[in-house]
Amino acid sequence: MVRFKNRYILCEVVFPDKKKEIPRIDTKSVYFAVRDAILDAHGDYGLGAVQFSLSVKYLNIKTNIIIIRVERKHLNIVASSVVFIKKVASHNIIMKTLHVGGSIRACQKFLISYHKKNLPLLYSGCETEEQRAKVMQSIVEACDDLQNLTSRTKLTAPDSSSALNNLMSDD
Amino acid sequence: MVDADVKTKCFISEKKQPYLYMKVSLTIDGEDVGQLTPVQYKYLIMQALKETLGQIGASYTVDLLKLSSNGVALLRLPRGYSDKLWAALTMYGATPAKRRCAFRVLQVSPFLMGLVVDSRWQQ
Amino acid sequence: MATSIQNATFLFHNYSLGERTDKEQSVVLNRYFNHALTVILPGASVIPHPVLECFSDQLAYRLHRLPLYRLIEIPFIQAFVKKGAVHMMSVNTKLDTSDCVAVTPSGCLLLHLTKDTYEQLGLEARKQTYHEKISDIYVVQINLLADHFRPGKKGYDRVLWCLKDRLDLAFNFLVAWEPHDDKVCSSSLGVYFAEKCPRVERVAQEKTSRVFTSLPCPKIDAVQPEGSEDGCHYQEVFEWLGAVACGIDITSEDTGPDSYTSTLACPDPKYNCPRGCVFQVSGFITPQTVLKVWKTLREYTACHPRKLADQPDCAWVCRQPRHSQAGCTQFLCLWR
Repeated sequence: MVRFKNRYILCEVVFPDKKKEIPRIDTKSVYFAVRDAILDAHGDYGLGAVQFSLSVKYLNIKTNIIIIRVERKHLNIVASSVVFIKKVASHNIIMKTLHVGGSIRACQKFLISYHKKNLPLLYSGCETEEQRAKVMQSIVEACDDLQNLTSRTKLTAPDSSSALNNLMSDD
Repeated sequence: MVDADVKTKCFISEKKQPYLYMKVSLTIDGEDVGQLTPVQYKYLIMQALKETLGQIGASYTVDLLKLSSNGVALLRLPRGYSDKLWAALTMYGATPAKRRCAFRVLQVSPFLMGLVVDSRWQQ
Repeated sequence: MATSIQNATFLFHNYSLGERTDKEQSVVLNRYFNHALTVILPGASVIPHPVLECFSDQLAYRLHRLPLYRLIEIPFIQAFVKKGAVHMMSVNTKLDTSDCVAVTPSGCLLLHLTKDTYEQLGLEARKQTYHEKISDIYVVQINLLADHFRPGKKGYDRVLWCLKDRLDLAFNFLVAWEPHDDKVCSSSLGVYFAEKCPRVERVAQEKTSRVFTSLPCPKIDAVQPEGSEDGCHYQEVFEWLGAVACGIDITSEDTGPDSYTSTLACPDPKYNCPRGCVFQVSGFITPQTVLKVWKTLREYTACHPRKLADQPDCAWVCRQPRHSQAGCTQFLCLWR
């Protein structure tokens, strides 16, 4: 039997409207937004080619990270449509494609290094001493977690979503 | 007129020609196709592309070279997308005014010269 | 079929008129079944009369429901195949989906058969090499001129039995005959077949001509056909010729690089040609006629060198044989 070869597109959702409360979006509304964008950009053909394999695998509201799965053959259709998404469930958004990986694990690896890179930026952006200490602590904790994680991965495959949550919740 | 400078040479083009030329006929239910202007005809073609291939599909250049009074037109398509465009024309079923219509592909050729005559004319 | 259309090759020979006439002759003579011929003459307002005369003595017939075994009868072979060039092919048969039959001037009977017919017929065939993988077409080749192909011999009797008794194949044919002997009239073929099949009629030649005025023409540089400052690329010229032959208006303001409907334009560098004419004949044209037109046009250009000194004089010849390929093939000659 032949394996279904997939690609996972890792996207970051940016909210251009500065609002106090975090807009609530869920997997379903993101899926419909992606579907509509494909229909608009690639028509019936594009949607028909992609619909079988298209799904939103992961959504983190806190960090605004999305993973979209699609068949490898039709990656271009989705990747080119995603950039045209302007609205998800009546919220104005911008989609930034960060990475395209062959598995969720590869995306997760990238995401960790991506956040690692971004934490120092967060640190320099802090205004009060208190905030700084908080961020510093979370950096240290995150690095510890990571070390544990890497040592663990050698033995057993990690539960990807929980590992991600580990990292995210500390931010 | 013997040109002394001309050297005997043979050129063979690449296997893939840049364009595909197509003779299509359009029929619209209960409407005289002969009344259509080239711009309207082209608009219908773009609608067909947009429906099946979306906005990205409709961005390819399709040239309407000639429009006869009986709704038969000569089109020029870029070769690499000719399959998709061909499919889009075939799938088109209703005009924006909700009238049933159909594009029929009569003849295709990689050279414009090939569409001058149709040798399958003899009935 | 789509793949064969997309993989068309364009072959371009460039040589001066003084040499290699044999080669161009063989190019024309090896295309047996011509459907149409178009002559484009920029700079001339009428088609020269000698060109029109070339078509006057060309006769072609259409035979309705001719049984196939009539083609291997000895009287036919003796009177026509051996004494002239028989151009014969079935019409209304699509090469890739149905059976096709042709008799070539070299005395060969070709049967392009679908798998069903091939298996019922029981004649030896080879698979078609042209698109071997995508279609089930089998080709039977019978040499009508072979010494051993006569009644009493095993091979002949077998073919006759297969065509006559096993399967009663009948086709509509287009036929033209060029006798080797000038005294024999080519119409005798029509008389011969009048008794063999239900209906024989002459194929009328459709002649159309069109005059154009003030047309942009691409300049041609014979030394550098692949494009230079003084001349266009040969493929661009070919496209322009096609546009002229199809009657596409490339002068109007609606066309051009920024146009909505069409971006086709005359390639650069170009000049304005005050007048010209397009002449087209369609029907069933033998290669001999094509060659005659070819030679006449050459003489014509040679007779009027001054008139054509700085204008390219173009003529092209189109053929679309359905017996060898599904797509259309065509050839073109271009003089300067």
